Amino acid sequence: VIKDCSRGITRSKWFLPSFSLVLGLVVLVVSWLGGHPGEGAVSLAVLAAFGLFFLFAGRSETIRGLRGDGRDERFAQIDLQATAAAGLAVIVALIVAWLVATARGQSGSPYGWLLATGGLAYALAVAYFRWRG
Amino acid sequence: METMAVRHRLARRGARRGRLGRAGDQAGQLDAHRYGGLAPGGDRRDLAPFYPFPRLLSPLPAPKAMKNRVRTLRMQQSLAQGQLAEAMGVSRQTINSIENERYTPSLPLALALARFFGVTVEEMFGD
Repeated sequence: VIKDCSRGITRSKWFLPSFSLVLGLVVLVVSWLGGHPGEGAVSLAVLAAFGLFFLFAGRSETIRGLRGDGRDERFAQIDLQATAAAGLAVIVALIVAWLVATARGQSGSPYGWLLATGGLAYALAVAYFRWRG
Repeated sequence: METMAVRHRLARRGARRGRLGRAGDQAGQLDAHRYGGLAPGGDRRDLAPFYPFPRLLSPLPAPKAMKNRVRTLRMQQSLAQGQLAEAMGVSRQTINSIENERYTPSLPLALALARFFGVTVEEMFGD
């Protein structure tokens, strides 16, 4: 059991920088296809800088946890709580935006669709994880 | 059926009463003890760690603090937190959080700690 407590949680420190770079390249290609290569280049530069910052940002627990190479079971729990808090913030923002748009006489359907997607995803996730045990 | 919010409120209320030391208010302390809050005769520092979310908006139940002897056992072996963390495959901060009873480890980590120190889990964790 010893030394295996964090297996499957820890990632390489290159994961987040690589992911940022790949995402930046995807945004660049998509922006190019959409006729806005300049915006794509700016996005690539921002995402590459974000990745480089995390790569060389040091060895604090927060940085290593966010980057992935310092994760253990406690940080996985922190990550879960942070994800839940972020999801809650998004849901509240969507509900407020939906209500404001509807009150202004505009269509709230984009927000409604996002809320419905979130609710459905949550219900399916609950069913799946309950089934999985 | 009691919700986590109700349990937490009862625990806090019991802790508050216990701290204020009202005469004949042992029910408050009992509430707190029963719902994972203040132990009888204890103080507010025995409560579960600080939890930032309002109870109704809380995405996860508040973690319950659990007493343990990890620090004592580590000191007996003259180990630094970093050395124990290295042996367990977790961060030094996680060992620190366990020792300060801000984090209750998973069963695999609790078993690993118990095996490392040559004690049972019951000897290491518990009130």
